[in-house]
Amino acid sequence: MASTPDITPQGATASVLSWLRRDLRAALCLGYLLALVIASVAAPLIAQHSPIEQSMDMLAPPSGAHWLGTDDLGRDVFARMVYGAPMSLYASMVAVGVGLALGLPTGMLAGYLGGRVDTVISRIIDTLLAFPGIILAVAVTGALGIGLTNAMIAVGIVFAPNIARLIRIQTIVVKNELYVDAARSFGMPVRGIILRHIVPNAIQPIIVQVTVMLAGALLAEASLSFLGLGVQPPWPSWGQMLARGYTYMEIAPEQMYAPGIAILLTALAYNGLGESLRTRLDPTSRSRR
Amino acid sequence: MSTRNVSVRFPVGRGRVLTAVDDVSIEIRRGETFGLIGESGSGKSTIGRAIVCLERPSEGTILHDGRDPHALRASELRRHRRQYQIIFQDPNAALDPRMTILKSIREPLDVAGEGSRADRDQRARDLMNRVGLGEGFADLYPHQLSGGQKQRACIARALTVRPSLIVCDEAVAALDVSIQADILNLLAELQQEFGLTYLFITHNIGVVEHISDTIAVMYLGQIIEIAPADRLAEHFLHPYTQALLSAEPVALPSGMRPDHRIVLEGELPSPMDPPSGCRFRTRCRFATGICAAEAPKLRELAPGHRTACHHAETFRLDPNLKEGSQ
Repeated sequence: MASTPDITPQGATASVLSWLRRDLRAALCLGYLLALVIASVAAPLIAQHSPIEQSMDMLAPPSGAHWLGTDDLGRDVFARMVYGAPMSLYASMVAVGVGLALGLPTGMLAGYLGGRVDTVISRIIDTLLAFPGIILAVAVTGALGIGLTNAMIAVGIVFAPNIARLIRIQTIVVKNELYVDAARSFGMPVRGIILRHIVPNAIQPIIVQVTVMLAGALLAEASLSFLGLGVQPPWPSWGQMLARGYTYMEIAPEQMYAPGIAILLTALAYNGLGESLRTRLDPTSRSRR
Repeated sequence: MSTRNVSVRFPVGRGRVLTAVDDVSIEIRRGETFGLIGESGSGKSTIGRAIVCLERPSEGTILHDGRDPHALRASELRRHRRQYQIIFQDPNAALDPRMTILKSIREPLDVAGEGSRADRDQRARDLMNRVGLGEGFADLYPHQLSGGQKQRACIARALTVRPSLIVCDEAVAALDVSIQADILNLLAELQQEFGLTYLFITHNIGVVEHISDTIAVMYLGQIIEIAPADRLAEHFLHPYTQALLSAEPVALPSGMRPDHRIVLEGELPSPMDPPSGCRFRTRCRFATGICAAEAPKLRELAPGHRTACHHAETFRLDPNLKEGSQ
C-alpha cells in the first residue's frame, strides 16, 4: 500500500490509481459519475431523438424506437434523460459549491475567532436555519430571477448555514488541540495554522455532509423545477421529469422509474465516493490493510 | 527568563473570573533546571503556557532575556518565540494525527523557512536519531507509535528551532514509569549538549528532586515556597511543602515506611473564590488568626530560600507533631 501521500503530480496520479484499485466502491462510484459526464458531453451522439420534439405517441412503454418509452407529450424519455444529465450534475455542483464557498469560510472564521464574531455569525446562521429550506430557496430564486443557475445558487444559500455550523464546531474542537498550541509556539502564522492543521482535521464531517448535500441538491432541483423556478421547459432535467411523471403515477407509473432510479444511483455514487474519500484521508483507518 | 508579578485570569462566564495564576514572580537562570510543583489546578501549567506566550498575562510581564515578548510586533513575536518551546503532557494530542512523524518534526523548520527542503529533512532526521527514534519512524503516523516514542518525537520537534528554554509541562506524567526514566535521562543529556534551560512542571516531587537546581512550590495560583533543590527536601519551611513531600510514595513494605504521611483534608478551594489571607489556611494544621487576616508574603529566610507562611520559623518545632520527612 502507499505509505505516504506524495504531493508531486505523478505521485498524486499514481496514488489515486492505486487507491481505486484497492477500493472497489470508490472505483464504481467514480466510474458511474464519469460515465454520466461522458454521456452529457456526447448527448447528441447517444440519443437518437430530440429531447424536445413532441409526437402523438404519448406515454408509450419502452420499445425498440423509444428505449425508455415516451412521456406525456410524446417526447423520447431516453433522449430527455441523456440531455437532462448535465443539468442535474451541474445543478448539484453549483448548489454545493455555493454552499461551501459561503459556509466554510464564515463557519471557520466564527469558530476560530470566537467571541463577538462568533456570536454574530451564529445568530445569523440560526436565523437562516429557522426558515424552511424550500421557502427560502423560492424567495431567493424570486429575488435573483428564474433559471437553473439562480435556483441552484438559492439552494446553495440554503445549504450554507448547515455547512457553517458544522465546520464552526469542528474548528472549535481542533483549535484547542495541543498540536495547534505547539504550532503557535514555534511561530506559525494564523493562516498556516488554519491551512495545515485546522482544515485537514476539521474537514472530515464536511466531506460526508457534502455527499449528502449533492444528493439533496438533485432533489431540490427537482422541487424547484417542479415549481417552474429551475430548468425551463421544454428543456429537461431529471427532477423536472420525475415531477412530471409523478402526475401520471396512476396510469403510467413507469414514467417515474427512469429519472427516479437515475437520481437514486447518482445520489448513491456521491455518497459512496464521499465515504471512500473520508476513509482514504484518515490515516488512522488507512493502517488497516 | 523571569516573570514579574504575573497574573493570568480567565473569564468563566456571567462576569466571573478564574484567577489561575496570581501575582507570580520567578526567575530562571540560563542553563538551570527550574522545577515547579503543585497539585492539579494550582496554576503551574498556566504559568508554563504564559512563559511560552500561549497565554497572555492579565497583569505583570514576562521577560525573556529582559525583553517583554508581548511588546513585540506579531511577526517579531513569531520569530522570537521559537527560543521558547514547550513539551506537553500528552504527546498523543501534541502531534497532528494527519501528519507523518517526519513532517511534524520538520514543521517548525518549514515555518522558519530555513534552508532547502532537503536540508530541513536532514536536520529533522538527525534530531530523530538524536532522541532515539530510528529513521524507520519517519513515515509513520502518530497512532502507530507508543507514548514514549511520541514524546521523543515531540522533544525532537521542540529542538529543531534550537530553543534556549524548554518548558516541560508534565512531560513524563503520561508515560510508563520505565519510560519516564529514559525520557528524563534523554532530557538531561540534551540539556548538556544544547545548553538548554528547563522549566520542569510536575505534580510528582520525585521527578524534579533529582534533576532540578531550584524548586518552586505552587498552591492555588501562588508560589508559596521556593528554594534550591538540595535544600527543600530537608529544610522546607511551609506546611504545604511538608505535606507534598510526605505524599511521595516510598518503595518500602508498609511496615517499614516512616509513619509520617500527612494527609491534607478537604479539596483545593475554588480559584474563583480563594480564601482570604493565606490561601492554604483552610487545609493547614497550623492556621491561626493571622493566617485568615493577612496574606503572607514571600520572605527570604535563608539564601535563595523564600517562603510565604506566617509560621515558617516555628511550625516544625510544634511538639505535638512528628518531624517531617527526610
